[in-house]
Parts: sequence; structure tokens; C-alpha cells
Amino acid sequence: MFKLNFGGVRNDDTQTFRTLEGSNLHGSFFGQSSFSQLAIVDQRCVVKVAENTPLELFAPIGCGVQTGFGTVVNVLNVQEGDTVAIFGVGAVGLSAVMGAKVRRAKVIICIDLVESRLETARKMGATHTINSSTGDVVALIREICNADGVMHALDATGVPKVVETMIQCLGTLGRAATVGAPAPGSQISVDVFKHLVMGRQYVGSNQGDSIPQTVSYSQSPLSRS
Amino acid sequence: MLPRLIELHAQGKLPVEEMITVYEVGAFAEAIADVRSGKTIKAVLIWPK
Repeated sequence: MFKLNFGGVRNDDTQTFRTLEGSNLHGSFFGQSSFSQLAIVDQRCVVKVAENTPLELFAPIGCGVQTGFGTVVNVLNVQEGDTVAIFGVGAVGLSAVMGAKVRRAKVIICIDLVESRLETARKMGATHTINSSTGDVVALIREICNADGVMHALDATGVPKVVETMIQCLGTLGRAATVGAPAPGSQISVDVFKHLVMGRQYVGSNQGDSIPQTVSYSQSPLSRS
Repeated sequence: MLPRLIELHAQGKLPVEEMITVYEVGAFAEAIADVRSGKTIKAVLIWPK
């Protein structure tokens, strides 16, 4: 998986690009190297869409959007009336907001440092926003949920300290998912006793366990819920 | 997942426009600066025909 995404070559070590002079160039970054009008991808990665699809709006859906949305519907399996906390509202976090709204979550709390992004999050469906520079996130989330914590949480920041906070925000039987990437080797610390007593879960997900080509997420054979 | 997301967008339930800013490829440096400053959430480059 690492080589396919970052190796700069196809799986058989051949390269997708060469210069006009004929020497090989590395490409296939993330399986595509899309800093280009056309991209050379593996046939298995192609998803057919209708001809009238506005591609400029869907450029990010194969990565960030399916990660955020897929984590909410596949990994966390948010249901109507549930409470959700989303840490970091860039493209992945905002896609999680859209997923939580489609699933009719009752409470969608977004946490970020950038006020304009929190405003975008409210526009897209967040019911509550917290600027993490200004308050005790764990206490505020408990207060908003009117419970011992939130039922579902997602971290799109990849900052180890934020991941620790996310887990502390979980209520009884709450589940948190990591989708933001820290540096390889990053570690966090977890209150093991609380984790067991409250039956909390902390899981990871790559691309929100989505199968890009399937029409319905319920068809996903990876679905853990 | 992707066909489902496109369908949701057509139904108005996936407002990706809210988080996308489109730049012509010549303005890629501006796109990078806007992403770094937080002004742009997701930059998409297009190659004009």
C-alpha cells in the first residue's frame, strides 16, 4: 500500500511518465499524480460517472470527501438522533459534517482553531461549534450533549494531543475514529481504566472504509457496523 | 461510495461547493498561499481549454 501511494512507480516498478528526451520520471503519487489535466491511473481505480458530472466539484471526493463521509456512515454508523463531535473542519471534517447531517444526527459539534472554518461548518450542518483556543473542549462537549460525553467522534487533524482530547470526550460506549494522519510513529496516551469502564472504542480508518465504485455504502463488504 | 456521493450532491444534500475554491493552474501559487492561510479549504486546479 505504501509503495502504491508513495513509491512513484507502478506496482511492477515501471513508471507512468517520461521526459521529451525519453528519460523516466517518477509519477503515480497517490496512484495518480494529478497535478495535471490528465492522469494515468490503474484501471481498478477508475470510477465511471455520468458525462454531465461537474468534475471540478468532484476532484476531492475520491479522497477527502469519501474519508469524512465514509467514516460517519461506515465506521461510526451514526444514526438519527445521535451526537457527533468532529475535530478539525477542513475538507475531511466538513465531509463528516455532511455525512452526519444526511444521517440526521441530533447534535453535530465541530472543533477547530479557525473561526471562518467553524462558520462554514455551521453553514454545512454543524449544530454547535467550539473554538478550541478558547475553552475546555471536554467540558463543553459534555454540556452540549447533556451526557457523560459524545456518542461518536472523528479526528481529522492528525494532532496526537487532539486525538487524546477526542477520546476523553467520548461518553459510555462511545466510538472515536482516527482519519487525520500524524507523522509515522506518533503515539498517544489513553486512560485505560476509563476506556474499559465506559466501554469506549478508538478505531482507525483509511478512506472511511469506502469502496469507491459501489453505489450504496451499505454494499461495502468492509462495513464494521 | 462515489456514485452515491454524486447522487446526494444532485439532491442538494452534499454541498461540496461550500468548501471548494477553483483556480486556473497558472494561479497555483495563490492557491497554495490561500490554503496555508486558511482562506481556502480545498483548492481545485483547472486547466483552461
